[in-house]
Amino acid sequence: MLLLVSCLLPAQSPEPDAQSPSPSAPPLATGTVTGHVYLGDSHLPARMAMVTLLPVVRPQMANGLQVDYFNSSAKEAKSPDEEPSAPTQLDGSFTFRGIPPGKYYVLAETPGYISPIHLPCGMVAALSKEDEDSLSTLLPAFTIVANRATNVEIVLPKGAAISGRVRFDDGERYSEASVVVLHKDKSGKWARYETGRDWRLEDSDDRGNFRIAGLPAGEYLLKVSLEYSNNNDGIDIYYGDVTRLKDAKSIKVKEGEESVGNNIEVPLGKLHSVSGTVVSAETGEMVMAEFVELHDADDDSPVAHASAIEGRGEFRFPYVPEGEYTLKVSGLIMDLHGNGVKPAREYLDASQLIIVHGETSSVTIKVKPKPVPVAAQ
Amino acid sequence: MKVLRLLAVLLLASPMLPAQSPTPDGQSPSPSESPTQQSVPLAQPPATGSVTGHVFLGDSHLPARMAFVTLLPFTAAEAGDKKPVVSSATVQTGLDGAYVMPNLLPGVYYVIAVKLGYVTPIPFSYVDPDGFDNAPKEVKEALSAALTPVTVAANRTSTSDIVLNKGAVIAGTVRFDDGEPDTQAVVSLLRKDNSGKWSEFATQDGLFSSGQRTDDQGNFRLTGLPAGEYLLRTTLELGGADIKSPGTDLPHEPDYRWDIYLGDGVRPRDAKTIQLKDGEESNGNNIEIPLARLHLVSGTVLNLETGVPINRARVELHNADDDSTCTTTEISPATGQFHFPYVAEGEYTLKVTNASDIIPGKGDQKPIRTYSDTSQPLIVKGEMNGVTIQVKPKPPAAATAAQ
Repeated sequence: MLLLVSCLLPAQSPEPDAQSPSPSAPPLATGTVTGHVYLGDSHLPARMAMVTLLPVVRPQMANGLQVDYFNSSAKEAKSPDEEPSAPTQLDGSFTFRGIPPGKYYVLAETPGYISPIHLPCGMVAALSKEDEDSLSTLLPAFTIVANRATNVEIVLPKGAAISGRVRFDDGERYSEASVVVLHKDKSGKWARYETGRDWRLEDSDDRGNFRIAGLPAGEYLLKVSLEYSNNNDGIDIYYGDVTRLKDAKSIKVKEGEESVGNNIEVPLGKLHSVSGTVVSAETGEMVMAEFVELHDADDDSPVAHASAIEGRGEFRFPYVPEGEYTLKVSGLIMDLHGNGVKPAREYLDASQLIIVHGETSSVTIKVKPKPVPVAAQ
Repeated sequence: MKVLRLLAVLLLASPMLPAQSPTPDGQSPSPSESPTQQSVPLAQPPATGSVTGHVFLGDSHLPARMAFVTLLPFTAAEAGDKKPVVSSATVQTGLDGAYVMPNLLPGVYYVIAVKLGYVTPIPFSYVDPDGFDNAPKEVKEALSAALTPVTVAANRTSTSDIVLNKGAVIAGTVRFDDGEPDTQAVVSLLRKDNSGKWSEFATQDGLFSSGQRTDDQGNFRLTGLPAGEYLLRTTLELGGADIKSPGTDLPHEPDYRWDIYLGDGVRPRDAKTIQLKDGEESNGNNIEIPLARLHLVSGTVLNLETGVPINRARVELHNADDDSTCTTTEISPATGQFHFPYVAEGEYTLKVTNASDIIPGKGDQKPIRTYSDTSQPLIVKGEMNGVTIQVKPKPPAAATAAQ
């Protein structure tokens, strides 16, 4: 969602005119870039494909980060403007006039086709360091000369597509499910594959159908995030109807292949509620705890959050997949009835292993009191 | 629908109670001071109530999971200037279809559930407190006819169960006449408003661009529609080059839009209508963009007295018979010409408004000279370059007055 919001921001960025140092300065001599984008499979023009000119040398912030385009207060004299970008015309042609001379990469993107890189929202600012380094190996560079037109022809190869349907195990369609593809990054770890501007396709439709297109040949995982609460808790369900990455089934696609029927079922029947209390190891009385979390027992990744503040020191996780977890209690842990005469006693963080294979209630986790420092008052 | 998600996040982030509601701690007086103080209503935070319930899907009778539930204030027809202070809230149902809205100020509310593919009792664009506040009277009447309001009382929990009805669907593909899919094309629906005029109908599928966009195969699917008669339209959008280079002063090239309706018409009266029954799926509503019959029309606007091209004007194409607007553009700052890149064959009126001369390369500034609006007929049968239209200079005094 944040990504979406940020996509819209550039449109509201202040006019560069406001930043020009002096209106009477003579205009710089500029060049023109023209060209065409074609579709590799049909050889038809790529209509309304987005073409972006990326200067090879771009101003960097001192810390190596790109200039923050969103922050309108960053008005340094040399603050770069947005990268010139424009959609192609119906004949696949594009024309950029008034481009300052220099070396540029030319990037074209259209849904369903493979581009060497995908610009998140078309914002170069959002490129990772890795992408930044590999630009030169991925994209051809062109030199733009003042008062001359440079011609660039681009052919986009057709990408593979993975489509399917998301349902719950009672047959209900899971609409608006956010489906993402993962691929192995350079370090061999599964990471989200950015499909560029075509973010709309990542949500399943009213029938639970989804389609992710424009993928290079390779091996992918599919992930659906079931967001069931307002505190960002969610369960990831992978293709293969499993909740852990290591159990996920991968999908291999060849160049331009259409992989259909990749259906995912959300196993509601295998999600259970887990509830219990946090108690003092000393008195056996319930205490309140700021953070109660479930972590995956294998890799310690957080699975669910709760707190045991309200009520009587009870916590509840409504939907927990079967498996082994570490239950962790942290933050402010103190006596429930400490606001009377005696000062409330605080407790140390604690964790314990729990195994979930059905509705699990009355889990008890014991916490030890914090040793009272002698020097304190 | 991502928009609604954002809406929900924003609403959830903001407190449901008025910001000035005092914290209980700051208010509770010490018991020894005045034990009766606590019964005085003014010293208390406002007492609140809550609404809970379940949302079900009318077709499958399964719970509506992760549906959005929104509260709209019931506004009585005779309500005066003073609006009662009410809560606004949007929550999401759980996997069992249940929802809870706590901490609501007492009052009368409508509870509306929204789920992709299902019908809302009023057009989707009004299903938020601001939108509903500004909704026309007939929308408010439609809501009161469709829903029974729920009364929220202090320290009480009201129940409101909702059954959602499956909406009708219009699906199809947008392609060019050479078979290439038109990807990311804006597809929108029109529906007759109360005055019988075709006007845009906002669907849940595409709040952003007042329409949905086609996928990489040119497919679209507009869902959750109430029964009725619709027109289907795609808009051919050509963005101008977005160039903002330091030291140069080339403003944004004008964008260009051209509407094409189902049935190949370029305006509502030539379009094919789609009639939908409750919950009906209408597939195969394919629109073909007839590139072979779309032509470039370009030209210049000349000063009637000197014959010199002027460099700033809005140029419009209207249908010749009913004067409805087809498309508009501006004189390109780069070429000094106006371009309609794609115009369907037909009879038009070419109109020029806001015509003026400016010193090029200086951005937005006072014009040197302004011109009267003018129009002339234009028949398009093929590509047309070098179209000219003359404009009469306004007397300098008038030009100054216009400023």
